[in-house]
Amino acid sequence: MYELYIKIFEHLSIPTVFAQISWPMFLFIGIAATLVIVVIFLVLLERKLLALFTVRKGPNRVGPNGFFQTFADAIKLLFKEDIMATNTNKILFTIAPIVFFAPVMVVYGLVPFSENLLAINAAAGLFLILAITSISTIGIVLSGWASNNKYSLLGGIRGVAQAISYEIPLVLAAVGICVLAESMNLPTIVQWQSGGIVNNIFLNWNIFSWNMWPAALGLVVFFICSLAEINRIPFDLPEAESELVSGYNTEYSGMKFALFFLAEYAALFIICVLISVLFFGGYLSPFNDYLCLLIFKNFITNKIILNLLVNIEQIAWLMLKTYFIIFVIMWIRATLPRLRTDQLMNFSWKFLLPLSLLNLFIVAIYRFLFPL
Amino acid sequence: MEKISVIKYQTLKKLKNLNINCEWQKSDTNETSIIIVNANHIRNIIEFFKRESDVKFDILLSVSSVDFPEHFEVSYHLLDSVFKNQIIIKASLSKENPTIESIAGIYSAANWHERENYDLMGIKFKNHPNLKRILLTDNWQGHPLRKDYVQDDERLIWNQR
Amino acid sequence: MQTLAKQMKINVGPQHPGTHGVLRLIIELEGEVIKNLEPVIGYLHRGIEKLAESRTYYQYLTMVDRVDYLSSFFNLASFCYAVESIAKIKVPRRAEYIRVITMELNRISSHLLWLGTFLLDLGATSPLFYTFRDREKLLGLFEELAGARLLYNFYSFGGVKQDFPPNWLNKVKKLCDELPVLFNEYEAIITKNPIFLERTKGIGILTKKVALDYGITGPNLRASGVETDLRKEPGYSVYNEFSFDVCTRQNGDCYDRYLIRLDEMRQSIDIVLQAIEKLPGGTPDKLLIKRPNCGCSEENCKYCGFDTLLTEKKINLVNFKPPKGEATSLIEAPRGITSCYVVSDGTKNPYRVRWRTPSFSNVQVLPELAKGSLYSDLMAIFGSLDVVLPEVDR
Repeated sequence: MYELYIKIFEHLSIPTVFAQISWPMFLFIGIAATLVIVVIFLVLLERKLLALFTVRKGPNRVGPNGFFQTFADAIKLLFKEDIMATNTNKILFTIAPIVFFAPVMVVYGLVPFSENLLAINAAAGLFLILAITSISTIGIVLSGWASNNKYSLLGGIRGVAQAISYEIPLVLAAVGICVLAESMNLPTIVQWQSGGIVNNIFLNWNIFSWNMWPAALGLVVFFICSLAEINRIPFDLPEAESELVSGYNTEYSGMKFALFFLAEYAALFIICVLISVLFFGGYLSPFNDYLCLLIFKNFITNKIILNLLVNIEQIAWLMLKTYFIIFVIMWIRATLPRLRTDQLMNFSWKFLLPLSLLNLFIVAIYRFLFPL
Repeated sequence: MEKISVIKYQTLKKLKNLNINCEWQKSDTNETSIIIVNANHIRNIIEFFKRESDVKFDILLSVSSVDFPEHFEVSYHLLDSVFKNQIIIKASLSKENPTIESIAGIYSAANWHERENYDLMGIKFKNHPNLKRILLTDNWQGHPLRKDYVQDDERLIWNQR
Repeated sequence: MQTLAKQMKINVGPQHPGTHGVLRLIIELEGEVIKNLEPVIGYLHRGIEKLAESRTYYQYLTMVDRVDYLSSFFNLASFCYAVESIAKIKVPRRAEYIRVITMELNRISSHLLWLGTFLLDLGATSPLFYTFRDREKLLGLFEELAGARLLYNFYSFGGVKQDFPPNWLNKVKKLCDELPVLFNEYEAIITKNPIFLERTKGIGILTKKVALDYGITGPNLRASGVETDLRKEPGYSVYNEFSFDVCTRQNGDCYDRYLIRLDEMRQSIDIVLQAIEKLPGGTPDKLLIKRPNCGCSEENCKYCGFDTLLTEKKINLVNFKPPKGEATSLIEAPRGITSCYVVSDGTKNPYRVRWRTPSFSNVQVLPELAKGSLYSDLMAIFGSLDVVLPEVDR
């Protein structure tokens, strides 16, 4: 695709520099726009799944089986009056949802969805992602402060305390992956997970070389911390509804609220993508080769079409893994009660942090015994 | 039945020693004993029933009051948690100045019950820690459960069509 | 810029998802720690006691349901027993059995709703739907029996209004077989859940002394180790004829209050099954007497037995005048002792009705329990006390 794009530029005799610059932008906008739609359906998925867990039917009025329910909700939110209370800090109040939303969207450009579908191939992509997602926290504290509401303020404070204490084990768990792959580049990390253990008929499947085996502890830590990062039950303290009404977004309505809402689900999606990239081999198939290659190798000879098919299959594998993790997260939501603030902190500092260090230790030994 | 009569005998004896006069009434409807006492001694008597009597009435169920034509009557419903005896201690108050000693220092439960009685019936409890209206708004006029209460509050005019 | 005060005053309610109704809590927070708490009640005050003075006994009987909408049968029973003891009306044994069966089923439905909302307060959403699903079955049965789902108005002075519909008892029996299995399911998802244990064990400890001092009754008191169950001792109605345990726990924390209610629901099922077994006159479809309401009160009537009557005697609805007198009834409602103090002056209208409701005390003890704990714990403590706000304000 990229070659095709550059060829168009060459054909129109425009310097290819522009193509090199504009290509990631187009790709990013394309990915982001598609994924916003995906995220909208994520809300529907969550409601349907929760209904399933709690013996209900879920939304079933708008469209076939309630398929367009979230669209109806989104339209309703967009048409709602944007209420701003008298004593709010108007500038910060408006900026907060944007600060919350933007970093999540930027991450979409940094994650490899397939071999070629990657907007920006940053050399230290993992590092960049971890750095950028931390900015979202500022959005929470801004909204909590600017709302001039005590529930929001408490929610904001809780959000910051939680994000800071869970960032550390999260990063340490990610460091384990960097040690394994000896790289911070996400495509490299994915590629490293292919190949299996030994070249055998069965053991050469990719599934055996995924990071989830050597870094199993890291997976646990990363998963729990990411739940806390995206404020999901049991770590949804910043918006604990029975205590803080709705936490940091209590005062928001209309589009600003929609932005918060969207960002939360976008974060849920991207963190699940990230988990599958880091621990479940990303876009790799769990077998030793891609299925479409096995099937079509003999009668499709066109390299470009074959490449396209491989890319589509890679996206499918990634989505399969991602949705499995999303399902687990929603399952957890239907099962567990909420933690308390001090228990949350204790859990992070006294349990997850040592565990992540232990993981780092194990991974380092593993890398020492089986060097690249 | 027997239990209550034993308690009654001993209790009356002890109360006599304390120089407190009271009248023991057997309620005609159920087995609850009703003790009619002088309002001035209410604190001592309640204290006696909680701490010194043979059956320690440790739960205060409620403090209630009735507006009779000639007097107000305050009644304290006590229950003991071991034998489950219930007694009602009654004191009558004058119409002009319905004031009685608060027992909030003896039972914490009495705090809100007395506030409620002040709020709805207008009985003043001396030495109450926080005698404010509890159910009605602070600027409410009159005490609704009194028989001479007239609903002439202008906020209720819409109700009199 | 204004300097930040060390303590923050926060106003929880009157509209707040955590307060289960219209309760206002003025809280002083230091960080997340509650330094001071003051409940403000009265938002739901409907003047139930005043309304009684201008209505006849029968007119008032319909209002009694509203004192606590989750346990209507208990309020009805409370008022009926008080009036019956003034008017010296004897309740037939069959009617007493019907009252016991309905009351115990009502206790289960009330506890089920509490269970769901308590877990919702802790942040778990699913149990709410499970308990509502099961409560729905009970409400369906009540609807079939009394025609209403929440406010039944089913008892009347001297008995109950009508017999069980045909096949109703079989449905109850079937439900009583199903429910313990479902309770085990709740236990599987809740009782040993580590987060639930963290949130409830040792939280909001209500000591025996404080509980008695504040007049706490019912499951909350029994969770603190005081064995006070009016059904067992002195035993009103026909409760003495059944064997059941008084469930007690020793610690008095939120966890014990949860366990005790689950135990109570199991005991209630036991009582219901025993009552159906012993029901005087048998189930409606096998009733031996042809005319159950012949109107007499003799023990060995030719047409009916006093046992199998539904109401003792036909009471003139308009002209019902109990004699001069007063009576107090004590009923062990799901939340504690509900007591109704009725003073009659011999006219058609009650002279004074005073309601003693358990939730009133339960709210009063809240500052005692919550001071010094974390804000998140407040919801666990408040939820575990099982407060129904209409009952507080009356």
